[in-house]
Amino acid sequence: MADPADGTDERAGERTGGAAEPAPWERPPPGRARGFRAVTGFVFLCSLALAMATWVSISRPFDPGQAEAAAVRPDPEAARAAAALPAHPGSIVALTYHGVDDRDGAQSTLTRERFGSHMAALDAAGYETVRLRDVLDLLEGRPVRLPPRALLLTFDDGRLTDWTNADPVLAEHGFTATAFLATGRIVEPGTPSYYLSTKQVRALADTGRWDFGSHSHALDDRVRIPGDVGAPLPNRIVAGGRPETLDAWRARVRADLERSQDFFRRTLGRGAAAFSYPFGEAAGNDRRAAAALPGLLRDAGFRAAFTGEGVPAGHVDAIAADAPPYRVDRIGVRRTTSAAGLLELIRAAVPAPPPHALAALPWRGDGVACARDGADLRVTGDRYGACVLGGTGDGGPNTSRWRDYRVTASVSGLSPRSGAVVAVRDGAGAGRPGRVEVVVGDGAVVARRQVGDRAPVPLGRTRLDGRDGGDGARDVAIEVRGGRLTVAVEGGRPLRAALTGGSGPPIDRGGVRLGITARGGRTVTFHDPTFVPLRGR
Amino acid sequence: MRRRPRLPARPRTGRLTALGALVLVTAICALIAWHVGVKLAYLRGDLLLSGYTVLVGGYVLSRFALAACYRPPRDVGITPSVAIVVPAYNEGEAVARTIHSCLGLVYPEDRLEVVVVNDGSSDDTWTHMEEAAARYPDGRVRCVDLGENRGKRAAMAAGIRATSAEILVFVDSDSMPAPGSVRRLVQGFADPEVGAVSGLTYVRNAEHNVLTRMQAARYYVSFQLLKSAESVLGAVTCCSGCFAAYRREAIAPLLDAWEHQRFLGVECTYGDDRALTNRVLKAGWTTRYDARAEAWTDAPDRYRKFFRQQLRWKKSWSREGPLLLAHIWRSRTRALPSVAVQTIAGMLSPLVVLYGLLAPLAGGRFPMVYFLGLYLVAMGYALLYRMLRNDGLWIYAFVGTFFYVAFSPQLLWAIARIRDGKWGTRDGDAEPVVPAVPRALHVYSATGGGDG
Repeated sequence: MADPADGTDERAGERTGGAAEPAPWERPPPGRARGFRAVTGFVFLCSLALAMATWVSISRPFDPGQAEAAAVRPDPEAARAAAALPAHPGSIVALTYHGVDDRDGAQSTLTRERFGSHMAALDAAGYETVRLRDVLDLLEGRPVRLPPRALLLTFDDGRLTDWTNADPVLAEHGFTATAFLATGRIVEPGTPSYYLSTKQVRALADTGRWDFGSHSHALDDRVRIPGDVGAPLPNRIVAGGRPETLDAWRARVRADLERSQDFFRRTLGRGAAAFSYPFGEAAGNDRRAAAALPGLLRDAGFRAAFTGEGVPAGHVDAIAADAPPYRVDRIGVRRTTSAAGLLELIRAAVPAPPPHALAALPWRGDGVACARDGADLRVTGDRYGACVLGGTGDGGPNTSRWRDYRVTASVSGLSPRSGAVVAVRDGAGAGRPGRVEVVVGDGAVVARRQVGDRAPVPLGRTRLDGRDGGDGARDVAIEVRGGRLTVAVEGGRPLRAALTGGSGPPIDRGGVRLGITARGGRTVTFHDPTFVPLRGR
Repeated sequence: MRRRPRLPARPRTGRLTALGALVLVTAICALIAWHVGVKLAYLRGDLLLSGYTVLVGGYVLSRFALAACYRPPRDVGITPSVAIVVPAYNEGEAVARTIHSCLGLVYPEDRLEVVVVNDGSSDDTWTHMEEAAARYPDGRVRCVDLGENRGKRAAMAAGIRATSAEILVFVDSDSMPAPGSVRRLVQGFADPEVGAVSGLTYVRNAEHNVLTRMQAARYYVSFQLLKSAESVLGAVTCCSGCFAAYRREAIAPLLDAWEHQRFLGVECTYGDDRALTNRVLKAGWTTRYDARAEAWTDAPDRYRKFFRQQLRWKKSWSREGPLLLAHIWRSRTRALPSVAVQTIAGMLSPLVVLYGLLAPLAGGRFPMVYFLGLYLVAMGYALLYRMLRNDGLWIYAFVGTFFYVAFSPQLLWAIARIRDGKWGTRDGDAEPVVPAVPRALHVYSATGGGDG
């Protein structure tokens, strides 16, 4: 048989024709010293292990899975805050998140537990999320069915944690969200990154929970602007040592928006319809640029643009049909924002329902003492001051939907040394600086426009006769409807004035103040002050 | 009988070590498969580089997987008539040795003959031939004299025409088949589809120096891995000239075309074995590899000779590779993917090596994945070697892989000089100076195996 190890050996010598060396199939395998073999084998195995480990580490794809939603303890404070939240049919609260991560200490990054507590609190307060298209329908005047407590969750930047940590929590609560991606940051699948990969973007889209918008392509880092550093989107930046021209700004922004839309077309098959301003900044160092920005966004296919990146410093309104589509405001959330704090921010943003009996509202004295007495409100002060509307956080209700209404009351305590001051369309609760004050004195009624601490602008004046109904009280009726103010005070001729025109901000919305102007300690009583909303203009 | 089903010859393989090597080879394959899977799942980075990685990774994996499925042809005990064709040129006394050793093979005497062809030798080769032939009964040795030097292909063709045996076994004059190997080799022809069977060739002078050790390891891995895999697909692309058998029926119609093959207007000299296998495949025959039919051959022991041999092989590979690719899609469709990848990746490999070495010099990134992958594959070869053989040469399979890859840019030179038919005969210190004579270099070194 052919096996070299068996019985053909005796013929080998003959076959090899007498060669000195044995035939190759008869040669014993060469021996090597045991020690040498052990060493080479050991070194080989070590280097193999090293090579395998290195190979795994360099070719392992970075593709973190989703984390479990963190357990959330019920928060009694948040429950109390939730109870104070009114329903607000027809408007949508928009929140801005960034990252959700336990290890990242950035101010914009919430811990998983805190984010979970936010979502739990919103869920418990009866909030339901709406889709981005519902917001666009609302802004563009199409009919849309909104839940009584409508919520739009947004996540700026396109951080990896949208996928790893935020999405599971949303799934738990049945929420949807919109991610505004800084598309230039989105990486190829498997690449280690702080931001999402295209694979994760597609995976988020496939969950059905996520809509996508643009956060610019690469304009999300501050750059040099003349005299400062600033957001590159709304500012004319320093390019080549000098400020760029407006045309250069326009070309730069247009190109960036186009690249961002390209990303969406490539990755998700269609462009994005919404935009969120990096840093929430829609205006910068050039008014013309700020004015041109909505046009550029519209040209790039964006139908709405969101501001509101951080915790609001000023007034925020929930999104209503009349919100400006390229300045849609959101409530930004930081890691320090507790669930209760978040609900308080929401309460300040959602429109308060119009009241009826004003005396029942939580009044707070601003330079005066306010005392409720049944259906009456007594205001005591020694100079000028008013009772203003307070709330849980003393921020007062959001009165931005209080527009056309009539306030009636019977005022007593009027004297030469004390007058009643009724302010309507007080912008303090509506994000406007001005208000209209009607001063009912002993012998005259004065209407004036008051903006901040500036000198008041008189709107009209009418005299009062001595008749006061016999009980020392005068009935007062103040009506604001559109641009007109009508004041009727018992014992005087009606006073009419126009609120439009003139300089200064428009006075078109806001709540009521009930105050006093006096010399020495005096008290004015508003009997049964009543608020009657008027429909239409 | 201590017969192993898959591991020929070396019975002293430490079973435990071999098992460990098998586990590690499997682990390396799994790792490469995982890497290829990651590449496919993520499709990141440069599409061209990813594609190259996937193709080459898949090719290497398929070699291991197919080789694991390889079984040598079954021993059915057939003994067709066999003619061993030995072309000889200036062999002198060695030709007699070859004749004796061929006739000493274990095979029925009436069915084995040796055809020695004197390719116009200028020495006493013919005399030695006749003397040796005279020692055997008529019909056992057939001596053919071409009268002039006409080259190896012509000598082989003349030998084939001189005999009517069913099976033609080609043995290089410096090859030495094991006693039972021809009997083994013909078993493959029990399958009527089979047109050629390649044996397994070891390096006889393996222990000579580092170069021969690396070649020995390389030969062994190529046969046991690449030829095994090709055999599973039924298309061994090169039934090596060292030791292979062809069915007469398969090569008779191709003989003239093969003998006078022209490429780019030049008569082809080197690469006779690959060219013949290629034509057999093209005619629709199956080619197989028999790991139990063993022969020993001498490998070049000098770097100059080695490089000339490599240059010839690369020339013939770059000629026959595309020719094979041009017909394999219809002659043996299932071998198309591996032949295609083999040809394309083989053509690209010098560029990839040069790029990998030059890119970091030009300020680019060091292609860590490429070199680490190469490192792992080299380790896989070494472990495979160690798994099958325990002769201490496994480490040379590892080192040799880098050695061979480092010289893959030689392919560019081979392609540039593909029309140059010289065998590289200026190696005057080792053989007689006969300029422009188309003879295999390793034929000249027939007696040089142990002279260092």
